[in-house]
Amino acid sequence: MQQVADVKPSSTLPVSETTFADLLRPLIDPGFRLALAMLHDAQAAEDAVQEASFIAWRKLGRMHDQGRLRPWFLGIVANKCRNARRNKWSAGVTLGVPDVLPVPSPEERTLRGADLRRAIARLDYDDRLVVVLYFYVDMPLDELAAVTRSSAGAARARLYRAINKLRPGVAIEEALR
Amino acid sequence: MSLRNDIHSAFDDIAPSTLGLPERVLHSARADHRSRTARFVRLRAPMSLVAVTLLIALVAGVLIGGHVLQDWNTLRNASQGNQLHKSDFSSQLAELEARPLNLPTLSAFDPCPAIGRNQIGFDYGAGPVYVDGELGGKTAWGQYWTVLYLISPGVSGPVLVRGRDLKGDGMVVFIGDYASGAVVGTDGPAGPISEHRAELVLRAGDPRSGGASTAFGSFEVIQGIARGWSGCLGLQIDGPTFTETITTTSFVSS
Repeated sequence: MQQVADVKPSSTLPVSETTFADLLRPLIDPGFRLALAMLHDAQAAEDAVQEASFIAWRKLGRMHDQGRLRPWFLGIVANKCRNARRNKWSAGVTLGVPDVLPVPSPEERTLRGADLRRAIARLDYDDRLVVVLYFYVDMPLDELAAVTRSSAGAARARLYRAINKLRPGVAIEEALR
Repeated sequence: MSLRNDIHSAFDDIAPSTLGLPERVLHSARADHRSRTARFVRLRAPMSLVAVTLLIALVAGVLIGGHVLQDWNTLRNASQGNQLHKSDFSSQLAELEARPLNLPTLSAFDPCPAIGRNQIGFDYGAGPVYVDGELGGKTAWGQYWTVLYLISPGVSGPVLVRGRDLKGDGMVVFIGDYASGAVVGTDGPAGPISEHRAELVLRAGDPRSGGASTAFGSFEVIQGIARGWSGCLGLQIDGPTFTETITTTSFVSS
């Protein structure tokens, strides 16, 4: 998939602090949810959203269609998550799925949830991204396609493949409810 | 349960509270943006041009500011008489200012009782006031920080902040809109000369700060301390129904 943050639009308009804050504030929570589900680490997730916000401010003036702000920003967060994983690899940290996920949770007793998180973590990056965006960030397919820089059809096909990996025995229609 | 519900519950189980997260992210983004803007100006503008521009701005500011200040004072004096809530605020503030500063005094060899990052994720504070700080530069006078004060939802009225070096005599000074109290010096950390004030007064619950019954109020402040400080400082934060103490430590560079 092409990296959204790397897209180079044509011209830049100045963005005031107030405008930036008003536009970005409602996107921080979904950005954090996306990063948490991608990275399984709350601190790393916050770092990813923070770094994405730096980039967003620098590039916000080039956004001519602010109706596409949410997929644009979540695309930057997704790229940061991809880079966070790369950085961890290069630092020699094993990113295999651990038996116990690093985020402390009083509700880890829910074995089903832990199994599902583990299964999602085993998906490759692109499959995991569409699953998280569709099922956890509750993003419609057309916006999801904008984040992943693919067509809606390609995004749907990837989502179906990922669902099959997660729940091999479950019909797609049932899984999509 | 559907796959959607299963995934929601699986990740909601491990998701920490995001209370205050937007404020933290936006504060750091603002600081990053300002530092980039400052670097851009330094790189692109010749120093002589910057100096001339500043001089013109200063003169114009004095001329225009005098009139504005005069008008503002007239307006303020006229409205003060019939605004009872302002006098309530003033009397509450006077009560807070009368509270003694109960910060510990330490010897040079005592460990600094710095508190760690709190559970909400801000740098300091046990609530209802939290503090996030970033280094804001140095001058010949001393060290400055850009600090974000966050006041928990539901708090209202004045919040008074005072601070000092816990191992020395230096006091924490404040600059800007929320600085209050006695003028204890002047310096120019952000270009023009600014007054150092001994107190910081925040208006909790003020909608302009974003504060409400359900949202954190946030106040961005420049604060500093004179050269020679020990690296260990304390802040006392007084509100109508609470007193909170924050102790922090920082590396002291020359």
